[in-house]
Amino acid sequence: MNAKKGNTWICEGLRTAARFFFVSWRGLESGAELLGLTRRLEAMTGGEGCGMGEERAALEYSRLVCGTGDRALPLWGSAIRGQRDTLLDKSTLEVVRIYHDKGLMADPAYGQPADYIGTQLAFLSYLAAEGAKEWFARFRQEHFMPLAEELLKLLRSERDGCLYKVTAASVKLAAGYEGGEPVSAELPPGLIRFPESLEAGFDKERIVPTHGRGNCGGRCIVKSHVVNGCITGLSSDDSDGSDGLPVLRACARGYSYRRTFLSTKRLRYPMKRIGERGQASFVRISWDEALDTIARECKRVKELYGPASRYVNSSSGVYALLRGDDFARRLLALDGGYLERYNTYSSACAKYVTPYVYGTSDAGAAFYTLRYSELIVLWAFNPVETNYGSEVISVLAAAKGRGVPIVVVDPRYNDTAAAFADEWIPLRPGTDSALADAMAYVIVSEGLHDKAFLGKYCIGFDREHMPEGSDPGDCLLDYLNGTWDGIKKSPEWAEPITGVSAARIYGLARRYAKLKPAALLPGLGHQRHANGEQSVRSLCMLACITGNVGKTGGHSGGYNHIRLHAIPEIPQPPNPCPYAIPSFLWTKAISSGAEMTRREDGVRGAERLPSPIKLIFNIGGSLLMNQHSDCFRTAEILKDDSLCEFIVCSDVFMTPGARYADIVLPAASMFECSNINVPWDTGNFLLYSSPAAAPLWECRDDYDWLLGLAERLGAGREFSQGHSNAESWMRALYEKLRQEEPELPDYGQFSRAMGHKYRHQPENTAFKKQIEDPERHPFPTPSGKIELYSERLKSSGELPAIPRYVPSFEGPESADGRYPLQLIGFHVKNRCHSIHGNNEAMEDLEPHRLWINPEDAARRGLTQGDEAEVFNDRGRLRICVYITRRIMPGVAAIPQGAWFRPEGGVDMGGNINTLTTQRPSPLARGNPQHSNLVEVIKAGRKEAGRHVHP
Amino acid sequence: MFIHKKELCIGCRACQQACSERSDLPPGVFFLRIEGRESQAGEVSVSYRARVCMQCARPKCAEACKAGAIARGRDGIVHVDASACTGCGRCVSACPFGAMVMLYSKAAKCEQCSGARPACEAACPAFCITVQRK
Repeated sequence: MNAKKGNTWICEGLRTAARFFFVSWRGLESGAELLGLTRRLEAMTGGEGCGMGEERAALEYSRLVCGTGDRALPLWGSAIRGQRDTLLDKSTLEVVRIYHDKGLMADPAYGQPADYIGTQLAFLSYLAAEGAKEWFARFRQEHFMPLAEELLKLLRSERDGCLYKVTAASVKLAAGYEGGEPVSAELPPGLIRFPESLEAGFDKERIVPTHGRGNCGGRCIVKSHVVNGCITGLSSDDSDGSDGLPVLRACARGYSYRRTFLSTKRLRYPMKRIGERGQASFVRISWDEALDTIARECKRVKELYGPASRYVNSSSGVYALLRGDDFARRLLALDGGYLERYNTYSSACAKYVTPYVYGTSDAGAAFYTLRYSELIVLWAFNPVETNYGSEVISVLAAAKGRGVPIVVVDPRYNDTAAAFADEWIPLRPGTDSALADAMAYVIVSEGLHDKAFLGKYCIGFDREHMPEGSDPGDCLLDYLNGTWDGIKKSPEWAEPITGVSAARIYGLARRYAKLKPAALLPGLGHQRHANGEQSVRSLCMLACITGNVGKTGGHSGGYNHIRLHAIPEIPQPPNPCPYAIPSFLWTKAISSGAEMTRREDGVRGAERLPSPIKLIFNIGGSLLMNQHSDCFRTAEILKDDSLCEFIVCSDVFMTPGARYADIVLPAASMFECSNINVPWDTGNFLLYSSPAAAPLWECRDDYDWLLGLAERLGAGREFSQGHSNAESWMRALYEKLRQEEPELPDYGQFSRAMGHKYRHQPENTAFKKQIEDPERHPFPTPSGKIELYSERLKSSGELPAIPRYVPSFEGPESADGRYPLQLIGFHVKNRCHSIHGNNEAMEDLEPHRLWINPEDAARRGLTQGDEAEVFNDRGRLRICVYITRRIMPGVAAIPQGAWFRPEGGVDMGGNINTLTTQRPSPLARGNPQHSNLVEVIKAGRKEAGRHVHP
Repeated sequence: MFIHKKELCIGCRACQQACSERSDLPPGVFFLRIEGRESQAGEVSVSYRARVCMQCARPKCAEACKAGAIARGRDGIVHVDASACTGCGRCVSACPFGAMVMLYSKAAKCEQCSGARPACEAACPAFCITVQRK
């Protein structure tokens, strides 16, 4: 058809199509141009035209081509090859090389991978102009056609749209090309001549450090193998530990970074909300419009409601030195202030309550000290799946090799138990203190307790060691013996509460008391409960009565944190607002902030908050919805834009929370920016990351746009302190760190070596000084001793004075006919919190399933693989069941981090936070995300009074 | 030879993912899989085994191939010649280890990273995989 009209015709048509894909975006005004180009192509190829209006054309383009909607379409060749849905891969490299053979390259100004359909069309147009018949035919067959056909297949339901019509017309034009004489034409958009300056570096492989930066304890080495801007593969730590340094090998998550972070689901352009919150209806805008809007809202909200109505939500998507949330706090502090927060969702109770016992939350021990342990009890600690530190696995493997008994206390037979445990003690969630009480009872009644230790270092164990003025009968011993309530806290007492047989409790107690030193190593699962504070105190109590505190190879039982090396941080100027809330209570601070008080809600800096939250920065995190409790309630609160009036979100994906934002900003991934990656807490190494590729599309590093915002707020200079980019901050903070850590090499060497593993690996154990030399080193508590009995807690009225079992809300005692099952969450090997939750390729590693015991399944008529609904008064979700003896009867478990996907009032994504509560724990006001009661039924079944739609 | 020390395996599947990453495999296609098996009675326990090409001395896959696309080389590795493969899938059903897969309509399997250090071995945090070459 068109061949007769010759090269000019085809060349012109393909150029027109390329122009469509590279349209210079001017918001809804672009509609006219997009329609014009579409109609021209339709006219050229005998199509019927496009009846769409201008505005609809622009909205469709924004949604489908700019990615502001829910659909991730393959607009790049690599999306349908190799791993599928992975950009900048080997197939992209192939295309780069083909362009290069013709002296061309993709124009970097657009931030598009070279195999973008627009660039491919430009290239075909160029080849047609050149009359390069064979080249054209080959590129068409191998690259353009498979992509275009896949795209057309996926666009079947949108056949009347511009994208479909332009793609279909392009296919017709390309198919019609039969060669011809060269014609003169200028270079089509999307391509430039290959610059001579880059020639020398062409096809040379570079190894670029792009280490893990999610909120996991591991911080592994991830190296990108980069050729011509494409990432041909990932590798990890080559070392094997023979140098005595930690081996930082990536886990399954680390090897999935390309498919997760270079996916077509990435956010590409800034956008603003045009529909109801939660509907994810957005339209692309310019960076200037986005930043102007944010600056305007920051000022308006500050003037109208005061600076304390502005809040930076907790986030941990980037858990490294340079973090957008930290920079945002810095900026708001310089702009009049903001509402501060305390606690984390990870460790609220442990970190808050450990100081009541020991005077500090730094109560951990370096993992290497497990070399000296004679018994290891992993209590709610699951490092195989959670990855709590890259050295933990090798340390546990070595202990197992030495024949050291390892006990795992967890309602679930987790992968750590499978790999290392001699004994698994399944414990009903939230009854940790009851088990501890019974263990203590056995130890004391059999005289196995460390009397000297208790007498010398602790207050509150027995009547002789109670603080002056207190009632001696309030001591721990009287509680254990039942002096006042007549109940001995024996294993027989604990058995019906905990679900652990008395015989097992006797066994564990005796083992723990006799084998020394013994590390009762707590994770964090036991403290993410409605009575989490007490569970933490109970484990401390066990460590004290066996004298395992401050001894190498032992453990204090408190918050497992110890600082081994200095950790660099972004400097925070003083916040002019004195107020802070527990981080878990931010939704309450939106819905009824002005009623929140010190007494009721743990407000700091005032008796009452001056204002509710009216503006939120949510940068690189999913606590805006997915990882916060009670998703349906959160959705109700966020949906109402008269409550929180402005939400800005920066992320790499349209997360369940970003759907509720007013402005969404596209962030650069770890492949596109620099950082220094610091492991959790202990800090025995630092990793250096640098960009493997320039930021894709219009993505920006968070610091970069926050600097633009700071300038608009008139605080640019103070905010940046002269650092025009993130790398400059890194260098300065690194130099500062070097003053504290003389072992660190200079920055050049540090970056070339991609980081530094400290040769000095301290084997610290908390409280060693206090135990070895108590006169000169008292515990930093009011009494100077370990406070098993706490006057501070007694007077708070929120917790008992001693660590003892306190039944909690939604604990096993409150289970009833309506909601008879306890439900807990757990970390899985295929996600780091919610990260990777949108990477379907990971599903094989750990299918998203509800773990349920055969007894409980049988009672509900469930068979393996059935789809079930799990529900309580807060919500319901859909999930497949995994019937297994690996979870104890009466308890069900859902891997945390699945993406919330509500459809008709049911979360089809199976996010456990559909079922968790926003009611906080009593003292720390922490998140009790494992204290839930639910019922499970086969999906689609009728349940009393309500029909469940399939 | 692929050696998997089961008693050291922690079931983390870093090897599996590293393999998929090295070989650019799409979702659902594996050259190496770690499978967990749960005890059905008595104490609860889980054991892991690796499903991967054993590079058989007399490969069933090669016997099943009508196109002559599969052969064991002098390096002791069973190779698939993708250009000769017709995609019939006979080799997939012939393999007793379930190690042969279809990848973009061609038979494919572990070829021990074609001379490079095997991704699985380099990835294992528990040091339980060793690939011994001829």
